[in-house]
Amino acid sequence: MKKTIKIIVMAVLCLNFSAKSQSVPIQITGIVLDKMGKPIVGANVGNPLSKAFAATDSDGKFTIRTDQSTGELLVSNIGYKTTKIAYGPKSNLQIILEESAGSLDEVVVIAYGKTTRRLNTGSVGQVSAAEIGLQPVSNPLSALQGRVAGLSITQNSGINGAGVKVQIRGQASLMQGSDPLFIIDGVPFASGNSSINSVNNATGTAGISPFSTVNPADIESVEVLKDADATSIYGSRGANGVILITTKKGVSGKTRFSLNGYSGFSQVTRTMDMLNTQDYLMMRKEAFKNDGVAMTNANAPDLLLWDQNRYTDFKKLLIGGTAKTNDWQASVSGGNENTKFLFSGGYHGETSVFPGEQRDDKISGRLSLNHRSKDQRFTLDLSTSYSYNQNKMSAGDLTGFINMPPNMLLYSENGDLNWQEGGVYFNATITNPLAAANRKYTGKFTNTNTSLNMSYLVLSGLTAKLAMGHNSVNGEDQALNPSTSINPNSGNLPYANFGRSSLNSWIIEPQAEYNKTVGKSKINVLLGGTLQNTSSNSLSIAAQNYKNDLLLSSIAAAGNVTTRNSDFAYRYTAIYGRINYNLKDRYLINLTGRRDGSSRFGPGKQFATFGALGAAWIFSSESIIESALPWLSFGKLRGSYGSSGNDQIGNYRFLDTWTSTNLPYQGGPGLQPSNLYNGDFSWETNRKAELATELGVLDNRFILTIAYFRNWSSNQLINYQLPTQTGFSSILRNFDATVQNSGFEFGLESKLINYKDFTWSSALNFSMPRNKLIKFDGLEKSSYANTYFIGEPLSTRKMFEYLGVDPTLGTHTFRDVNGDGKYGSDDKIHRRNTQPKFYGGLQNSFVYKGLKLDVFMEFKKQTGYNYLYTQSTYIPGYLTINQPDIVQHRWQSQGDKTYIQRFAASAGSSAFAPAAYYLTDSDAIYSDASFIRLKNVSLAYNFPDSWIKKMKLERLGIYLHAQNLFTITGYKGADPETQSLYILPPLKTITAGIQVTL
Amino acid sequence: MKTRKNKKLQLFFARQLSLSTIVFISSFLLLFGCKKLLDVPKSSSLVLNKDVFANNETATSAVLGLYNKMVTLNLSISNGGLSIYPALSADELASAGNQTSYDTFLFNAILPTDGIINNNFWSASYKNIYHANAILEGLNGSGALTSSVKNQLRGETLVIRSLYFFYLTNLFGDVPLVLSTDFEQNAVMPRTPANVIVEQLIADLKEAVELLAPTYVSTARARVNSFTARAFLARLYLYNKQWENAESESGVVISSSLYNLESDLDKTFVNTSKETIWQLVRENLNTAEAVVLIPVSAMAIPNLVIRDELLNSFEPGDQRKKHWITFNSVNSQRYYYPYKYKIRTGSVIGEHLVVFRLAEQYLIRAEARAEQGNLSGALDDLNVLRSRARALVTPEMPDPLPDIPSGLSNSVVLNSIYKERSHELFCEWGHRWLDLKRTNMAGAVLSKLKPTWNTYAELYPIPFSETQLNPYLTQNPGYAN
Repeated sequence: MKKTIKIIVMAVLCLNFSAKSQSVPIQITGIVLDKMGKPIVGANVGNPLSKAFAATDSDGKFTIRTDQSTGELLVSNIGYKTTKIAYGPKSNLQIILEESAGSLDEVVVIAYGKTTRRLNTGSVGQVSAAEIGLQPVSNPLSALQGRVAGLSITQNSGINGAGVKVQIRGQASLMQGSDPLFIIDGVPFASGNSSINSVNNATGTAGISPFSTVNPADIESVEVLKDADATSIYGSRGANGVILITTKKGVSGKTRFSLNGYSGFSQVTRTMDMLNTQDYLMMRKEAFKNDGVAMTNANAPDLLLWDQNRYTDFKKLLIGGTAKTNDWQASVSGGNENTKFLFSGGYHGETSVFPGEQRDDKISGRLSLNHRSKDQRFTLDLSTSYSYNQNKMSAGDLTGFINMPPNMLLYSENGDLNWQEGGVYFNATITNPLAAANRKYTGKFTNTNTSLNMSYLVLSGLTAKLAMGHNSVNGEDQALNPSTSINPNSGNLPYANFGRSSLNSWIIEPQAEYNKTVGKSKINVLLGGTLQNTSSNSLSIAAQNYKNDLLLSSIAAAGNVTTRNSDFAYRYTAIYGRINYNLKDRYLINLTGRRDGSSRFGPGKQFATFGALGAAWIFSSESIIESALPWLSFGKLRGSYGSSGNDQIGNYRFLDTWTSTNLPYQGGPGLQPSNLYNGDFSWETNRKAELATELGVLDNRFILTIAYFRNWSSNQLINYQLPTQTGFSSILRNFDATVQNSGFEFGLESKLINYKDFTWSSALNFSMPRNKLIKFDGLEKSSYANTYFIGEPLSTRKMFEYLGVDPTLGTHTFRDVNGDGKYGSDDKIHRRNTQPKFYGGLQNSFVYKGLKLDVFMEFKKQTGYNYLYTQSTYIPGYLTINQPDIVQHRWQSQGDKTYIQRFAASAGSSAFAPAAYYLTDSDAIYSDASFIRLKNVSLAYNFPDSWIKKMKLERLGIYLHAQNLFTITGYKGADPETQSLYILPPLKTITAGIQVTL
Repeated sequence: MKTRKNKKLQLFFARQLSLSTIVFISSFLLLFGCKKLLDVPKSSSLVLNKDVFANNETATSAVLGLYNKMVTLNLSISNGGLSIYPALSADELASAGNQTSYDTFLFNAILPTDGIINNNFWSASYKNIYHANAILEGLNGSGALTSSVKNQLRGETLVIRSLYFFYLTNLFGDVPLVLSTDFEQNAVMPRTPANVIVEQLIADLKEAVELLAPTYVSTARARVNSFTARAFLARLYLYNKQWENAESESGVVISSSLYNLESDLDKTFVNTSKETIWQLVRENLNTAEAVVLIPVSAMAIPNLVIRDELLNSFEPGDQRKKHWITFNSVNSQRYYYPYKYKIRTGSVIGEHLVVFRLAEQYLIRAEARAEQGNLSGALDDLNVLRSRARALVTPEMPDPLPDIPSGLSNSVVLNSIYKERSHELFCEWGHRWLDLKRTNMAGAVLSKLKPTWNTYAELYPIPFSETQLNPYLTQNPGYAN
């Protein structure tokens, strides 16, 4: 066994030594340094004519042998400008490389390492600190919106702290999670993108984003890893792509103090106007008249008992406010060539557009320490951060109450919240929305992230590394429902919910990396192991029947307490390797492999192997291309193919288990089956292929990237839907279905104008995703026969074909395909899906001297749910519920041609079933939800150096930032992104700030 | 030669790097492929299936869990839902204001996509049927339990499972008779003919009678005993027109000294009632149906009101109208609502959900006797209930709620029994709705009250999503699918 290993290692190493050159007329020595005088390790030094190459050692020194006694050497290194230097016989050269500004040579963080865009074989999108810094957002994921091709970020709610949906290159899994893997400084983010609140609050189903505990200002860059080459090394966790977050590091030199602060305000973007009292009452009366239903105190208190002239604009009252934002970031950094540090702290605070005292605040602190021993052999990088987020909001989204009847009486004569009028209490369908504002949520979340990386250059070229990290996300939250939030007529006493959750994750990754340059070849071999452990425990307490409000946050004072707790442990282990071979910086091959084990699978199914091959050819370096196409400054063709997996299925699912019931029976503990048992499931595998070209034209003034990808996920691990007669609605099992995600991604970066005092640069990204189910054996006879369709996107649904409002009857009509006079599943033949056609973003930056203007537009072409979607629950005319003013276009009399049916007053109405049941199953609920959003505008001014010097400053800048300034859309509804009238839309924010560096 | 070459190579490499370092690192990394590393502690909230039935305590917990789940979902089939939704479908209740979930039942306009039908009735039943089947299989496979415990648990589980199938088949007609946990088989099971289901239930209940002790194993009659199984069996026989058996089973229950009619009608539904045969206990809560039926305050209009037809059908002097129905006067208008359960909410727990009670057994025996021609026996039983409900004699009302006299024809006696059932059992477990159907009176009675009445509405629609997921599950006639 040992011998085999030796042979393999030797074989690998033989690759290097075979290319060694023999005859040596002259020898040139030298040293390569950066501007700070620090040696650059591993820089390429070569003589293009003699084809002699060398690389610098750990002291930055090199020796090169060539048969040409005079000539030029080309010196290049990642992140630096390639430099030419003349040499003569017996030269001892000192070469200083300048850091490159050209985007092709910018450093790109990849899995367990770094590369440049030029040499990368994989597909990696990047968002820089500069781009993030333009955006006054508290969630760093929001700052990525529209900025990376293939990355779809959807804001589910405009509530402070609400989660965002993240998807890289479409939905691969039929049902399991499609969240990418998030890694912060090498440490997997314990919570992933799952919400961190234990108690329900205004963010609703979106929940509170775990990234609301991450300070965007701490981020140096965000890399989005997309293809097999980039993600395979993450094995089972890489199927949905990987998002690497790298935090800022200190800069050596003089100690710098920086302060950055901004302040501003936010308001809701797009929503719909609701009927005023007069129109509302007219609608209600018309409904009763239409159906011939008698108005009674019970079914029409708004018409019979309430003031007919009172008017409250609930939209204005509940979400019409202005939220304030304040953000302060301070940092100090410095150090010498061996040790650098960065110490930073930040505060971000937001109020809400809701009425009353509502806040979301975040404080954070970070320390980054980088040390390199004098002999350059040992390095240590430590980064540790702590953040605390406190969310104090209403416990519910008040947007849900903008449809309360506008003539509702809010306050009684004595100033208390009112719950009745004319001697009749409000019924169950309406609530005094101001009471909902009194439901108080407090969430306190902490996030500590520590990563420690050590490396030691054991031998020339061989580095041993040890990376360790710990991440802990803890939350404590409560929602208090005092008597002022409860309908006194409901008989309910004050109640409270408490939650506590703790997620802890640690990771240890020992690695060995071998670098060797022989002649024109560079080889990099990485071998590593991972052991990751995540454990969680959570507690939730429902405390009910408080006698009064005073002790509401004390659990002991509750009349009735229900407690639930849960915990889990997840273990993950892997060995992985990567061999990167680079010939002449022109031909690149990257081979990665990983063997993964996850505790989420049963015995015998725990391990699986993943791997990928990536290759790139920089054809612009070929002399024939150089001479034939001189305008082509850069041309690369790259491709990759490989596999990764998905284990986002929850823990312990392979065990046949019972679990406690929430409540005992007569004090005796109860047990119930947890789920249907299937111990026989295993990995879902995802194969990804990509072919791309990157072209730089006119000295890289234009850089075009075109990528085509095609991913297949098969052996789908799904919660296979079952009829509930089996006892459960699903069973976890592998299913031989294949989902294909494919698409084109384009990127075009241009420096359109590049004068000394004025530059205009732009960056466009554009994605055309295509999702389809390509294989599903036995689909016709399965429980998915009416859910999925071969050859169509997963979001496809079979719908009734909407035919509009019948001009005679005034009700919604749909095509009765089989002519049986009823609307049944046989009539649902219209297939519609909500897959976006394309999306992307366009950034334009203009710089005139110290003045910089950045304009970023996000665009998306898609179909979405329109306002009719909610009209199955809120049927116009029925119940004391207000409607958007668009319902005034309703059918009124014979011959009216319109899209809003006649108002209904009872469940017996002929207009009831079409709205309540058929409408949401028809294509009427879909409409174009495409939009172009002016996502970000930033105007910044940096004071001129001469002026700053006088002030003894290093930098002084002021800026105006605006987010979501306006939206161009033809969408029929509130906001085309959130697509619901009753969820707070994204906010528009305008801030002004100042940045000072001493 | 070979060794020499190797040695030469090794020497060559030794200059470059130490092989032992590489080997050490590689073998160290191989440790990460070890299975042992993946052993994680089990979650504290999970119990392995094999451990559940390894001792009496956890096996009992499995059954207590089933009882608990019967009353978890408010207004589900076993937690008050039958007292409300079928009462709307029949001629007992109407909704006062508008509320979609009630109105579809009220207008007998339920669609297969209806949420209540699916969640509260169908799914709630089958989830607990699975739980029951898992218990029965676990008990069968366990050798570790005391036989008395094992018998008790099996008996209880059989009764609970039968209760679900009884209501499912009476609401939906033929339904899949799922008796195992095998999901592959259950997922494609078609509807089982109702008569096959009834046979299974009779067999199960007979077995339960044998397995269960006549005494209660819990306080408050909260767990099933053998009389519960008999009372249920009596009802099944009645529905299945096995009059003789119905008479004998109800007779055993009636003659048991455990049960007596409460003379005070206000005490019939309290949790200490001697009339109760089996009641379900909700932890720290009174009944779910009272929360819905009883308005929150004297000023509020109730959600659901008693229909005038029912209200006006009570005979003079029938105290059930006074004690089991009450009203709120709002804006000088009276809204009558069921008042069998009298506690809406609050920390004092005085009422549980009564599943079987003695009065029904009298009605069963009366009907079984009448059907067999024993009219005087039938009237004896009927008049027991009438005398209990009778008001005191006053000068204004010299003959309140008189006994049904002898000498009437068979059909008149039967009609008196049906009428008595509608007054004794109104708004309770859907008795009225099932009675209208089993006595073939639904069309005659309901078409008069509801202009939109359709005969097919006698059976509720099979939930649409279920017919989509199981291609062998057919829809009831009359409904679009």
